[in-house]
Amino acid sequence: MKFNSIEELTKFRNELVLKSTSLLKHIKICSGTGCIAAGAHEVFEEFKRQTQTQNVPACIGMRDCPAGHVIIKRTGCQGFCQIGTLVHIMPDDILYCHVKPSDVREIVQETIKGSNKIERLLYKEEGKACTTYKDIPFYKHQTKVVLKGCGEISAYSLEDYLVYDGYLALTKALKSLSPSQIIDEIKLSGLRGRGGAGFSTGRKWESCVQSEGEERFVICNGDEGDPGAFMDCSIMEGDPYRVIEGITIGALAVGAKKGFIYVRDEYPRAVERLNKALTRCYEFGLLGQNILGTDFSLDLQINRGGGAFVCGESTALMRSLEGKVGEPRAKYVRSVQKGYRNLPTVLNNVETWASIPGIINNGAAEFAKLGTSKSKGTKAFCLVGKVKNTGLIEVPMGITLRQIVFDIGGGLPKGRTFKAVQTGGPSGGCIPEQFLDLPVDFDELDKVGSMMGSGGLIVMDNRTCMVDIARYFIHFLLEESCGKCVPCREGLHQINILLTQICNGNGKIEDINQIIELCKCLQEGSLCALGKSAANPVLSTLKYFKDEYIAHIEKKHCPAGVCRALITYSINEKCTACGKCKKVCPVNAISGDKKIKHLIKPEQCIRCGACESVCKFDAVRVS
Amino acid sequence: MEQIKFKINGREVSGTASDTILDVAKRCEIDIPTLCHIDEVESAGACRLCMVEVTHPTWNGWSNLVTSCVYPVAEGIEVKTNTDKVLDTRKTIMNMLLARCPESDVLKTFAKKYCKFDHTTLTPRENPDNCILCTLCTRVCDEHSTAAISTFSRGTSKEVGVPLGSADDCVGCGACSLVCPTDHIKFEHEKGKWEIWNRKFQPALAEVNAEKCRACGRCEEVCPFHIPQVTLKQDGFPISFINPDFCQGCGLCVAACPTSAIDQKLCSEGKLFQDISDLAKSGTILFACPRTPLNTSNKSKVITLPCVGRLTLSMLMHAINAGARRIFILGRSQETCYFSNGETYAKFTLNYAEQLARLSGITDLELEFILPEQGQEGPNSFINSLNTISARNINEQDKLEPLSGFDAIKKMVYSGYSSEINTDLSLWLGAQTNKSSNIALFVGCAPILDTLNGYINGSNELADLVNQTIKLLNANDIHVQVIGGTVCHNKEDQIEGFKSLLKGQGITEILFLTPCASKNFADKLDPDIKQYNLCEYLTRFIDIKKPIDTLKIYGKPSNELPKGTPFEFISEPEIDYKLIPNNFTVEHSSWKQVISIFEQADKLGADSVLFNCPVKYLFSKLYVRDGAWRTVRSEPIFNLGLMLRACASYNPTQPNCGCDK
Repeated sequence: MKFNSIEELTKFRNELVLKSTSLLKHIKICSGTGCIAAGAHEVFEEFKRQTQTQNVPACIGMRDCPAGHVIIKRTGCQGFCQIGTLVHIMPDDILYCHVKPSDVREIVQETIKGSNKIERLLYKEEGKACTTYKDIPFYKHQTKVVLKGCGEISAYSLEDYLVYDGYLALTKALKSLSPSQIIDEIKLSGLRGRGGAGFSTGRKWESCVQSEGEERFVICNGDEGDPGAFMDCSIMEGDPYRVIEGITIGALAVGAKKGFIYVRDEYPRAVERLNKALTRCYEFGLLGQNILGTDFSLDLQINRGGGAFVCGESTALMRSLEGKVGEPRAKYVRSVQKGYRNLPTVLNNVETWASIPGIINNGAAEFAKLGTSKSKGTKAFCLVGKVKNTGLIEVPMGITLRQIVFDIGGGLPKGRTFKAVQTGGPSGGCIPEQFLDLPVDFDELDKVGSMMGSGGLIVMDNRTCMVDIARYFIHFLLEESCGKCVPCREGLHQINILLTQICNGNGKIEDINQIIELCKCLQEGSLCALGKSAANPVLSTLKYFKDEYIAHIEKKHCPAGVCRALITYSINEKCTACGKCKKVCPVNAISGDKKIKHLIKPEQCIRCGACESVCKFDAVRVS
Repeated sequence: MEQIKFKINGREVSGTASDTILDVAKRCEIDIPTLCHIDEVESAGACRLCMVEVTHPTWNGWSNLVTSCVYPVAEGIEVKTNTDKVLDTRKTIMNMLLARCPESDVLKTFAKKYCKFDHTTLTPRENPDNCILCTLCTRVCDEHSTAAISTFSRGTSKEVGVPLGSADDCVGCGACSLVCPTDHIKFEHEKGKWEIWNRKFQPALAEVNAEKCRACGRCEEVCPFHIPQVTLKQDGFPISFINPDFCQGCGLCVAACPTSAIDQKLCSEGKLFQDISDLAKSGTILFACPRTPLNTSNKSKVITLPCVGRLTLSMLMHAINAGARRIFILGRSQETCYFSNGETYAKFTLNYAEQLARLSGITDLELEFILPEQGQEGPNSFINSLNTISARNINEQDKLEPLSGFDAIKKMVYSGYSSEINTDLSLWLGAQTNKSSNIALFVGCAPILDTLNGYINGSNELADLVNQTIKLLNANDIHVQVIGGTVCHNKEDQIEGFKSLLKGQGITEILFLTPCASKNFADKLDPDIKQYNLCEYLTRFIDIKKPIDTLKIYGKPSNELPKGTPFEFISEPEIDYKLIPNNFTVEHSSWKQVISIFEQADKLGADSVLFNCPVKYLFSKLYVRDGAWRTVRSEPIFNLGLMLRACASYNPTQPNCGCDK
């Protein structure tokens, strides 16, 4: 089947929308990475089986689903990864959490056939069950724009995407907007690149159009490598058509005939789903020659990265696409002028591309309603770390860190206090409590020595050692530095040595100045943003948590009780001699017997902390 | 091109849109340190030592550190190369590099010069080597050679190497070693073998045929490595000797030998002629440098020479006679080539062939030296773009005479002299005869080839030298005219040729520059012409005008000097002959070492500096002080003359060293 005109597509969509409203129930099983790990596939299979055995008419695909049927969908990430597998049932708007295949029979029986809620599967906030999805605080404070389809639609179904306003934007752009009008609309929306640097997307496109070149290219950067970040992954897995539509509109606006989606190799599911989506788009005439019967053609292909973090940097990514070693180059000549194969190229992040259809469809003003004066719209974050509710969230720009951490994230786990939050991935800075009311946008985060980055948010508690954190991220970046320029390659190596010394209790007070000197050189002298921002975790912790560094160096003491060389584990009088710690100790450093208080032999202890994590009586202490 | 004006350190400078700040700074002799840039390869901005601070009047005081080797010049920018920010960053980077390569002498010298320290305060690397990962080697290999080497891994474990441990694609061009700023990559090239990246190559060693050699010394002049040496055999006759332990097999001498006395077993003339006959049938023939990245199918379409400079006139004549009408020579940038001068020679040979063909009435000939686009695709896409034309059927009577070497040149001389074609030849001779002159200089060891084409290497340089010397001696009314010629072994045909050259030029005296020149030679030309050898001649002036004191020379002569020579060798400088400015761009740091030797010489009151090659055979360079030190290329057989010149040109009133201006 191929659409030869815009009208054909519109007709097809209208039929689908009509059908969609006539369906009895939508069972949306979250098939994001987290939920698949928790058994989403098994739950899906069980739903298919149970609807059959219980004689519930059910379908998987929207296209062949007769009216009055139940549709079972595997959606993208629904966000609340911590309580997966998630099953969202519409139109009742019920969210079941921690669903196991064994629960499915009951769900079909009670909720699908009947309209009863199963209390034990509902999410409970302070003991109180949330009867609808919207009541759950994690969702209540979010505003989903880019992630709208993610978790709603079946990631494999173009039809589903069409029902949820899919390809309305492209048809609008093809029918009634000139390329310059598209660019004007994007400029007007105030959309800034979601990959981290926050450059105005509209202006980027405009410069590309103004650059001379026999060919132009569009590239989608899906090489998301920050530890703890999975926004782009979730979008590519959960709403691949939105990304493709965004790229198609971008190509139309800048006059590109060829596009690439560069996906991190560690995202096989994203590649699989994007590939399926691409195939279907070609089948339906939404990609390839003469899209929807117009003069506009676009060839889009997927390229898989080779596992290098630095290839997320735009110029390195382009070199990698060219088949060369993925190393960045200086951007004095920007890639909109000389990018892929030295020709004008627009490269945007997945989230940026996914924002495009919404802006074109609903208008720039609608998009710009949200956000702050200079940062418009919403931003997806991955909320992880020492916080109660972890997962994928989307919030309007300008929301405070406090709202994110405490309202959406539900605060810290019991007994822990907030210390810092790191934004922007490994090169972001650690923001202390005093800035919790900081509105989150590109410029404000910059001011306190951190950055928006691609949207990682790592919450740290009082048991997080900031020196260790700095060392951890420096070590990560050291491993991922491409090694092209001296400051990044050698500087990170030297900073790592110094930080490791401090963590091991061998630090000297003058090391701090040496670290600062190296960090400054890194900021000033590095070739690409990886090196330039690599100093952020060190400099921000040195700024806000210098006392911890001093404690490590002068008192040989790790206040958070993390650095192994500086801590000792002991068992206090709360010990009930349950023997659990003795069992888990990997080096048999714990002595004791039934009814005899246990003891840790310090000379044997390797300070792994296993005993502390299993003790239910808070008897293992670290000092 | 439109000039873009901007400022460096307050000074007004300008460049074009394709220039970087570093390009302009270099042209203006503003020193910006760098370890990862040479002009011949694309800049990478890897070492970050060339950082400068850039601002603009419209930037509201905002400034930024940029790498000058990649930053394109822009109208109105203000560049500062020595702000605190620049110096601090440079120092820290240097500190990091020294921690990486604590044992590198080049780095230490560099650091001392630009940062005033040569020790790292950071933790030095364990088991260090001298590689600073500037990637000049991989870039030069990628852009000019076969991309045989690459960087592997990343971050601190990054290293330069060959894929899967084997250098299959390496062609042994040595460019990586040439460009390495810290001498980390070693290119072993002696005893008839090259070894690099654990791969051995066998050079096509040049061998001299004693029967044919006339000891003209042309091989000495063209060899990039100064291996051939004209020596006296035991029977008293001179002959060229090419030591197989040092010969690099480029074949430049083979092509240059006017008597075809040199050949290479691994690339013999016979085999080449056979290949030419086979390939010329297509009408198009390509001679290629062996160190370009040709794919297998294209390799069979070309004739691979040991170096494009190996191309001879007779090969081209043969190709034309065999029907080829389009002849291309596929080279590569000689600035990054170990055999530095091949391109120059190949172009000359092409030029001769073109002139000869024109004189013979062939007009439909396309002869071109091709420098393909840089990178792996360049030469291949050039070959693929060629549509072969069908070969011409050449009638026997129309064929060019199968000439070679000296015969071909002679033909050109005679034809060019009698025809009205305004060739380089007639231009050159015309220029010479404009000046009143009655002295002819016969440059014994430089064949007429050079003289004809204005190819200033040995012969003309020496003529210039003589003229200048005479001028310095206030003998302004005398002008020496270079006629040139090979004057070894009396040969009747040569004499006839030279007679016609001398005809009607009013020559009254002839100078000979070689010890092996026969005095009787001139008698046979014209018994009325007086003859001198150069040393005698100059001494005649010096005797009259200025008595010779002992000349102080900083250095050591490479061959023994006659007894009673008024030279005093005051010290032997310990200097690596590699430092001597040769055809390849000399690193700035090396120049500085050369200059420091001059400074040392200056302190000791030397008049001249003589650099000797540790390869004790040949090659020395004499730097003579005449206001500023200047270089005179010299072969030891001319040392005496040059030193006499040094005496004459010594002017104690201008003691300043002009090298670092």
